[in-house]
Amino acid sequence: MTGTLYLFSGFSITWIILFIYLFSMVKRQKSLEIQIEKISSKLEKVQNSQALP
Amino acid sequence: MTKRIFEIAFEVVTFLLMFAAIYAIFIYAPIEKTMGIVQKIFYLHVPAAFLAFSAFFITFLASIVYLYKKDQKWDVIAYCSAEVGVLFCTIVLITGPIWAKPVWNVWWTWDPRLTTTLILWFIYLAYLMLRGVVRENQRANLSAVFGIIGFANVPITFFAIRLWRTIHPVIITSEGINISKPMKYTLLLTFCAFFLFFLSLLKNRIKLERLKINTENVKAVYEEIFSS
Repeated sequence: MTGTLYLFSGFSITWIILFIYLFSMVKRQKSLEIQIEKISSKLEKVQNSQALP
Repeated sequence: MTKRIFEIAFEVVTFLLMFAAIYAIFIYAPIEKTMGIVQKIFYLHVPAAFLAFSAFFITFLASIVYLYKKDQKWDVIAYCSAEVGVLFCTIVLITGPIWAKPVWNVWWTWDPRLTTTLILWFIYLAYLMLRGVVRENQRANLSAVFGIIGFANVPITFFAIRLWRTIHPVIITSEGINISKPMKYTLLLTFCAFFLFFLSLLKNRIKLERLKINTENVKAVYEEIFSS
């Protein structure tokens, strides 16, 4: 393996790790958004049922 | 509105500095005579190590403040900072051996600096795992104690190359940075770029954790109301 290949591996692995971490953060945020959506839709249903005579 | 503009400006500056750092590393910085092009890994390795230490220092401070004030906000900061610190420490432990193989002819050696860094990584990995297994009412207190005691290894890791005989290069000494001027400027630029990136990462991680806590609280209240 030449020095360039080591250098390339070092930089690629670093950026891959950082992107995986950023991706995991986005995924966690998406899952929280889904949870919030579920709660708000349930609350909406309850509000609608209470509004009915 | 002003806050949003400031946030966008901060992210744009971080992005531009990152590009400038990549340009400096590959174009501006000269190739080292003995080690060759592989020495350029140093521009990732050193700032990552500095940021890992900074992150663990933030965990240490936030843990002390948490134990004093008992405010969950500080526990969140300590936890998120430890997570980001482990991320950067992982980068240090990967880029180090990639540099070492062509230079030392081995991927790993049980040198004091390398060994203490590995121990540091295990300590904060244990910190993150601890939070997952401890009951919620004890989590913050135990984590804070762990975060304070675990930090003891940071100065040991930092001074390992000065306290013991080691083959790890000593770049930053009391007399300054022992490298040529273009290398020094490149390193400083990379430091700045990575530091802004670290702040942005930490800020967003804290935001996400707060959102998670708020969602869990709302969910708990909702379930309590509708189960009764």
